[in-house]
Amino acid sequence: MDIEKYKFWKKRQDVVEEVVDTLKLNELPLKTVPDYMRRKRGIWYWTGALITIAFVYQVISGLLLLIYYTPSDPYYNTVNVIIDTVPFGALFLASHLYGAYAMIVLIYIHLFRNYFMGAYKKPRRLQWVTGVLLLAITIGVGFFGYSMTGDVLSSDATDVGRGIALSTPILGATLESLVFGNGTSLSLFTHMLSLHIIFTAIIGLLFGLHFFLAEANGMMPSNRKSKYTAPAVDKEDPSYKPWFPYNMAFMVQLALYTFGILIIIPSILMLINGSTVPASATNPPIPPLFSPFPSFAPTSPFAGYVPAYPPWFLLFIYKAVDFQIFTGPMSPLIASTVFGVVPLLYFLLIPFMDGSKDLHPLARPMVTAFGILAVIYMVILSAWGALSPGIPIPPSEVYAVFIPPWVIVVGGMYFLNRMYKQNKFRVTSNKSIASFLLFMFLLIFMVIELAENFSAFMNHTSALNLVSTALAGGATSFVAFGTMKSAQVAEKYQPVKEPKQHVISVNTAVIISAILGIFAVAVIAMISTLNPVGVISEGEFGLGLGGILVISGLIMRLYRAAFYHE
Amino acid sequence: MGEESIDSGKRNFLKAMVVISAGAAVAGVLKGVVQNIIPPSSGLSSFPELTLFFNGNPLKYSDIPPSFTGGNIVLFDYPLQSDPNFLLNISNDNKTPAPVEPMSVFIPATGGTYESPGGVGPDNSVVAFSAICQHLGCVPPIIHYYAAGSAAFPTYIHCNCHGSTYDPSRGAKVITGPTTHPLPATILKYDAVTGTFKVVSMTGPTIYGKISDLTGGTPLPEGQTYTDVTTESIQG
Repeated sequence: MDIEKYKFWKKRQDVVEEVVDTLKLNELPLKTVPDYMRRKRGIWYWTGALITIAFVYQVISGLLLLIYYTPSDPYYNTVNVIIDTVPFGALFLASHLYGAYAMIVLIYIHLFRNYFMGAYKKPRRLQWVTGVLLLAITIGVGFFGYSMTGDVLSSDATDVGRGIALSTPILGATLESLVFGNGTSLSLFTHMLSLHIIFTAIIGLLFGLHFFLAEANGMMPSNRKSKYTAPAVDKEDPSYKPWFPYNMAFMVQLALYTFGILIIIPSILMLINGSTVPASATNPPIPPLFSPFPSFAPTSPFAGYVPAYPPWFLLFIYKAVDFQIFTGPMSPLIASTVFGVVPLLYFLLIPFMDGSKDLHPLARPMVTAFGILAVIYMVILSAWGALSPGIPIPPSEVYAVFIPPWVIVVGGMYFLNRMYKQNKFRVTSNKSIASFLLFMFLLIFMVIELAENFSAFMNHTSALNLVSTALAGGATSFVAFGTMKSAQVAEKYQPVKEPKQHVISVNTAVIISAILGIFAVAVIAMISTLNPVGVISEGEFGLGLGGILVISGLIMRLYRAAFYHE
Repeated sequence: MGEESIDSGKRNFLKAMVVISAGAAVAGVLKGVVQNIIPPSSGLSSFPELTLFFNGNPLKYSDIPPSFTGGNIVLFDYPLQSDPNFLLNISNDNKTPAPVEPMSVFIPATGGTYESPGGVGPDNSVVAFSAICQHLGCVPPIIHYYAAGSAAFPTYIHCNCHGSTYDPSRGAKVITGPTTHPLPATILKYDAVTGTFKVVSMTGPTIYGKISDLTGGTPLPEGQTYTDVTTESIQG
């Protein structure tokens, strides 16, 4: 069947060529990458792209929500107007919230991945600094956005923020009014709205610089090429396929997947929630930290049932404020400085503090140990804040929770570093895989153990619980590290398989894509009749729409597999 | 590009499937966005029945002698907030109430007519009209009521914006342009037993600048069964 003979197809191809020419898709000054980055586990090389896609979703959904935001009465307007009466308002609101969560989680993944890989070293120092600033600003934008709804959680969050700002010496009152307005409700919410947008604009500008530097510096070459030595600069290879259409197809696929998932998750939560406000105040279907919708109004009789939580991504600082090692009127400021500003400064300055050329995590034992500790402390503090919100913690407990992981991780890293220096990491692939599986099993076991001990410890503090929690925590962090390490070793020593030329046969791709395409059309026909107003019907619409987006991504994947052999 | 050799028909089929499914997704997104940016209408589903209140009590006939409604701009909001209506006690000499008959009112713009309800109250002289000019939407005090001085100077409603005049003793029909619509009539009900006035509905043209009398504004607080009569001085 030689379809090219038909005039229709000929004409169509001319149009495609003209579009490609007009948009200069063949000449975009974008870096090309080796094939393995677009293959199976290639997603780890594209965490930055995922953040960018989530950011685009946030800007679009945020601008749509901006049309309806009312600073004079935000709670009523959010719950009774945007969620209850605006067509698809509930879906946009919930997915805007979860898009923000996704962005923050992805930024942390992106950050720690590059941290452990040593990507902050020359020539990427400025790129790293802009990235850390972007994290801080994104968390700030998240805080302002969270404070815009006027529910009990948002008023708790702004109260805590006010307290911290006010305890700043000399500048306290100025800083507080600069961020939170003159004290009236209208001034507060107008400030939250403007700062939310202003800082989003700053994210956009700073991201431009970050992306430009990323393109200019190029990607980190594989460890085999760089030999774990900075500066790790990749030279574009003639074997790299051109950006268009290979990378573009891959980007489109990623964007379709990401958009789909960003819509599906909040849709499922909306369906679980079932109504605008939680059905039960004492036993809500979704914990208040992850509710897709605002909580109760601060004046509602149910507000007392909701713990005074900040957004989950600030729980670690929130818990630190409860520590009684910080005393006096400035204690909230000191606590948030120690647990927020100091780590931020550490990450900002790490490219200037670590001047070595080593890229291997084990060659930089203290840097790696601090990274692991940052993750462990953040997880422990967040879980602690979620489980026992606002309960003061005496110094002895603080030390009991903080010191064991420190000793184990720093000591363990010192030991591993010595092993590394003696070249003792020569493991055959079978052994390394076995050790990885063993570590995995231990890790899962320890995490469960830790959670159990921890909750017992939270319920009734006793020395026994304390010790067992600390031990479990320490063991968990050690096992976690072992898992990571053995995974790395296993990865490194796996024999490199030559990729199959035909990842999928063309005929199979045709049949599967036909089924998926028909399915997509059927789903859009079904969901287009749903009522655009109402939590349940909007949740169903979101589920269907997200499903279609994922399906489109899948067909794109099939196309790449069948015709690009990727 | 060595792929030309691969069956381009199948290639095109897969491309078509990408376009179709992504097109379905785009259609879904577009439907969501387009429906989302059209704001839901705000208003009521039917005309509420509200008692006229004056200084915190139900309005009595004695509160609004012709000299009062002629000497001040007397307004109440109906059916939504910010929908002002004139409350008038029609008189030919600004002293003695003059009954207003129900009548057909001519609409110059369409050539049609509608039935104006006529006056209510003990003297059948109390009428109410939308106080938003039908020409370009000017509101009191720019549009206001002139009480009759004598038979030679009868009552009329005049809009200072562009000079439209209406005759409140004849269903606020158009006396002079540029307006091409009479003022919408607000239907009142007088309860002779309690001596109170209720406002129940509207008839005639739609209030200026609205798609429907019942939408395009904020309803009175839920459960409120009255609307306040307020006054402004004519000089004001």
